[in-house]
Amino acid sequence: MNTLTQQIPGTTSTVRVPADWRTTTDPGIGLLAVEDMTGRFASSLTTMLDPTQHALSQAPARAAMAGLVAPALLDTDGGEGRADVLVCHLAGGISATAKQRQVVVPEGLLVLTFTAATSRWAVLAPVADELLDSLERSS
Amino acid sequence: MTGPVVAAPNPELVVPRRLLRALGAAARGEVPADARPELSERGLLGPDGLVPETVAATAVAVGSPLVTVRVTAVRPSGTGSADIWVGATRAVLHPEGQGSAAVVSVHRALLPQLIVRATGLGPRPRTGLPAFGATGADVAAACRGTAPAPWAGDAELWRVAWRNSAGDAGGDVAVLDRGPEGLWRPGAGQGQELTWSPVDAGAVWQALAALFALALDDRPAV
Repeated sequence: MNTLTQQIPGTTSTVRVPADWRTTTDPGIGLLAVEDMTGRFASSLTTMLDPTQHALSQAPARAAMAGLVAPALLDTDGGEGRADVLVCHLAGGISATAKQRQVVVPEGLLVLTFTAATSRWAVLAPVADELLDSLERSS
Repeated sequence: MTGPVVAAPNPELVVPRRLLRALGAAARGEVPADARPELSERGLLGPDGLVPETVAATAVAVGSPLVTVRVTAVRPSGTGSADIWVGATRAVLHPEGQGSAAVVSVHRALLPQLIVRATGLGPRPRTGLPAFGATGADVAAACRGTAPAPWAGDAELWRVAWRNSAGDAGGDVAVLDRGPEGLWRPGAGQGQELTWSPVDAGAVWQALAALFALALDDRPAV
């Protein structure tokens, strides 16, 4: 997969994103969204910065599932200043699987979420790991 | 609410397996003669010989499934299994057994949640324990409590097996759930023995995704 480095709005951190995915940024709300709109299945990676938080959530799974429709918590993992949450939910009437990584950066709590159709998760799980693992924190 | 709902539309549908199969056959227009009186009496077959609208989608799933799934679990309390019929719009779960049991019918998009509920898949500690060798039968016996177990405490062995209606695609995933000692999957071992290695729940989900690729028609239009 051909990727390029993208700065995360509101931070000095970067993440690698697929070069052919559509990218949207909104520095005002610390949003970076990249979506695979050319493939048959839509996948996305979003980042959101919460500048009011400077520590990991005490309940990262609950935070990750807030606002989701019919969420089912599948897995959690933590360590080295990060919390990962894997959850299945409904999005637009289809089954979606989301892998979320929460990390603390100098500018606040950064949340990266990779979402894909559950029917494609076998193929896209490695892509999720590759993109989430590409995060480079400035400190 | 316009999206799929988790709640079954027919919470009162508590039937034995033979009647559920008869309902599925009725949806195909093949009402078994010996089941007609009972189906009619229970309001599952109209005077016109048609399945009522309230159970039609559920009956179609059972009678003409696109994919069938069997979930089996071996635990200290015994062995249990349930079948899931994935139809065009519904996924329908029914426990196997001689008596009546509740039919769980959900929107097809909720099949993954149904699998999670049936297996108890969820986060487990990553213990870093070493792999061990044992046959599937030995592990099942240990889970039942009828043979010594190479682990402490209770454990559950579950298996999800699936195939499509054409019979040319299918698969299965087996998992040993040792609770606080994590999830374990079997791999090739020596002779009859399998090598059971610790895995995280995410890896199990990725393996189950082969089922979801077959059973979920959730591809956005291009």
